[in-house]
Amino acid sequence: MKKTKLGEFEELVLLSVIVLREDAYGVEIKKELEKRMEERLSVGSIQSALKRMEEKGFLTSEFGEATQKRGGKRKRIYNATPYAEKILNEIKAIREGFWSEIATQGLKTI
Amino acid sequence: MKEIAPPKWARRLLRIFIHGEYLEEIEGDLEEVFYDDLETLSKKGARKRYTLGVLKLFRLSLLKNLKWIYKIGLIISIMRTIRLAFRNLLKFKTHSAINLIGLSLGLAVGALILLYVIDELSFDNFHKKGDRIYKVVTGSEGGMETNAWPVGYKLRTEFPEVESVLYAKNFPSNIKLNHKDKRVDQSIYYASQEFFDLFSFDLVSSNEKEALTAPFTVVITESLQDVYFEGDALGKTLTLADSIDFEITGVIENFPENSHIQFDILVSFPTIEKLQWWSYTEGWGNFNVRNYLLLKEGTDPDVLQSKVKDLYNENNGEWMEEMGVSFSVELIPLKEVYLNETYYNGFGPKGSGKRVKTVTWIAAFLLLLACINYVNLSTARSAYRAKEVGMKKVAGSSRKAIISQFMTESFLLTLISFVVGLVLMSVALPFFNDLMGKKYDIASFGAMEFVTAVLLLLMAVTIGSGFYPAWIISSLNPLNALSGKLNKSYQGLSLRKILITFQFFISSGLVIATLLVINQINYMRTKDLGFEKEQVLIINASDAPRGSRRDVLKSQLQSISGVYNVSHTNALPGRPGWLGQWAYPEKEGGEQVDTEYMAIDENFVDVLELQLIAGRNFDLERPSELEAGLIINETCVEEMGWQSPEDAIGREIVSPSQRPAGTVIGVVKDYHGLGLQDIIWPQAMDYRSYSYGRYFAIRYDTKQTYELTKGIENAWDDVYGDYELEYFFLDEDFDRQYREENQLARVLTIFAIIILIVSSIGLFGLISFVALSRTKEVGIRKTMGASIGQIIFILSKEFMILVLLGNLFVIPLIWYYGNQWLNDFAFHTTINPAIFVIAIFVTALIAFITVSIQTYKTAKMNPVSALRYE
Repeated sequence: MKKTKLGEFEELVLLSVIVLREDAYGVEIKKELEKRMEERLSVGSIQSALKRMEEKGFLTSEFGEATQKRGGKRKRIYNATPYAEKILNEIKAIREGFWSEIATQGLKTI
Repeated sequence: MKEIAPPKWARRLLRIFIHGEYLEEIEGDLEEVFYDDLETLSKKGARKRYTLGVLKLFRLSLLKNLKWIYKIGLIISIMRTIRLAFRNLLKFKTHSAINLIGLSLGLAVGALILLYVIDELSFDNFHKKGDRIYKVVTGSEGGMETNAWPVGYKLRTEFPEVESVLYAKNFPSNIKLNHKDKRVDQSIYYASQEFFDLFSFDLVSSNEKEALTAPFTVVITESLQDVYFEGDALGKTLTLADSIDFEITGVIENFPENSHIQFDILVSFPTIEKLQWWSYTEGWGNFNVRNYLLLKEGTDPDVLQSKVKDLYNENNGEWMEEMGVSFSVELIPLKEVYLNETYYNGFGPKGSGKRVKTVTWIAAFLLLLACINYVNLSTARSAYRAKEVGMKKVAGSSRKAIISQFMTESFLLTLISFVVGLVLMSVALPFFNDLMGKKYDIASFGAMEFVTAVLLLLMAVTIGSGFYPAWIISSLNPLNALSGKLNKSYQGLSLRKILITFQFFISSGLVIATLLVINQINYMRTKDLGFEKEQVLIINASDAPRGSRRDVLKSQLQSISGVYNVSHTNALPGRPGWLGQWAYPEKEGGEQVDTEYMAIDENFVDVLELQLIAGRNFDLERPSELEAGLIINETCVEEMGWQSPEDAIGREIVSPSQRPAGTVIGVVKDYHGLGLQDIIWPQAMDYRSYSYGRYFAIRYDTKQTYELTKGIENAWDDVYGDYELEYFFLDEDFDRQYREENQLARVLTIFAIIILIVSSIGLFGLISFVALSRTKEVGIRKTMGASIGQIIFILSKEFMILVLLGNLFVIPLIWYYGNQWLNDFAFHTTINPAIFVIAIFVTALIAFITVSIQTYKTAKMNPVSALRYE
């Protein structure tokens, strides 16, 4: 069960990987998330989420091009696995289930 | 923009800590962010943010030795276990000390013996073709390391599975190297060129193809080159025996210490054709060549062995039958040559498989006894630690954890003991070297094999001592343990009894064995040998030229004050006879008698104080007897089939080899020409070969040995000034034959003492526990009026019975093996039952003293405090 666990922040990172497609590497993911969350993120937080998810099998990765700005170091482009998409869908379905119920009952606390 | 870069130290930090696989990507990301930041922030701000970014990277999933971090918990728990183990060791100081003494003695001795055994077993294992090399020897009564001449030739020509055959033969032994006026003993052998096919000794200079091929060429060792030649000796000339020049065609690397082949000079085999009798195909009865074989790959040595075994029978069967002897060809694998017991090694050092086995057993026993101490003390103590174990179990500790706690304790103690043992080893090393005839130093402890073996030993000792107690203690039921319902010595009691019995079984066994060996040595030293070995000084004149100068020397020696008589002879008790050869005179009917044949002069009988029991000695007044007379010993009379010594006088002895042949003029009482290991052989002595003499035996009757040797030196310098004088005392030289036994006695004595100490301190520790647990009983007994003596008796009884039992069990065993050992000596003592009594008395006394010290303490206690105990 441990492997299927997907944390909240991890879910967000995963979603940005899917959105960014072939641009999905560390800095770009960071920018994307900072833009949407309106919050500063560290390289470390993104990286550790990426590595964790890769180990759990949500992501695959390969080296991309190197740029001068990166001091000649290559990027690592991430890709979501079909398994990740399946889990994301499941999570979405669960949430939607909740929300549709909440919609009928109305939110008690706001 | 190029000049502005992220702070270096942060980057370095990154490289140190971040997992290598992620480094490139993360470093790139950080730099990209840094340069992006530069567009919006100041240089300082960007750098600050970069540093912050680096610091924020310290997450478990990104760090290098991630696994190690997870192990911190484990390390902490191990540290805690070790700390606990330490506390427990310190809590029971006496017992820890007892175990420490036992184990460190055991480990020191065990490790030293490991060093020795590894060294002995490593002999000759460096030859590349070693597993295909065999030494050819002659199986016969006693066994000979040399073969008849045609054996090597047959092997070389008639057996296709043999790749090559090496011939090696002693160079006449009385030749010394003569170079720059120095005359130094060298070991010199003839060797055929196959030497380099077989053995992996490298030539430092010259090529292998030419070395040892031409006559009058030699190969010398590097060390010889260093001593006698400056720089390269190749092509230089070496003069042997004052007269023969040899060309040096090769210099060979020095031999490793663990080679059974050691020499200074190899003379090419073709040289033998020019110097002495030789033959490849003749001489089936002439055993003086040494052979080594190299088998072709894939040859089954057993098959070859069975094929070659009967070579002597097939080729020389009739002669052998006539002589009543049997010979067979035997192959010994190279690696077994050194430790082989039967066949002498004329090529270098000789080990002893028996000695290796003996010391290994003793070391194993010693370690075992030290482990037994540990087991006994720990199980005895188990009741005192039951509460601790019970608590732990209640708190949820698994049995595995408790076992590992106890194993840690024993490991820690073993380790500390080993450190102490190392100190003991270093201190004992010179003594050990002396005992074993080795040259180890501290550096020998660093050898890979030794370190590995010692680590295995430590593991074995840890498990051997720790596992059983850990198992027992961890099996306690926590309920019983906590409620204190345990019988104080409830567990392992019968096992403990067995172990104590075993300890004293071993200790007394060793004590008895030591006494037995010492007894036999005393017997050999003091037995009447039939001649008088005291007060005889021998000059070895083997190298000095023969002829009339010998007679001059003899008369000069005789005139020295304090000299009673001088004999010039070629044989001495304790030294082999005439060139070490046997003669086979025929008795009536043609059967041959193996006889030791010696050439003596008219003073021999007088100097050695032999007893003539019939006939008379050689007399210079009777030249015909000097020419054809023989003096024989009693055994010879018997073997020749004559009635009595008187009957033998005037009889003729005929011998195919002309020696010894003549008329018997005298019979001497049997005397021991060899050590008491050997029987007394028939002996025949004649006078006519007297000029072959090698020794001057000088009987003296003065206490002023300094004056005496001074006089002898002067006489020698007068006659043979250019030769070195070599002299020794007959008694010392003769007793050298008992070196092996003396060494055994020393080894046994030392180990018997150590083992006795280890067993006794173990008993001491145990008894202190038992006495403690019976404190209340003692208190009650005392109030009821028991005397201290009675209490000591009650407390000691049980243990004394065990000690005696151990003694009783070992007696039949020693009786059996002791007699076997003694039977190897042709002349030996019988096992004196007194040594059993002595051994029982000694071990029982030591045990009793040990036990009494403790029990006395308990018995003397004030009964009031004894009753309050607990």
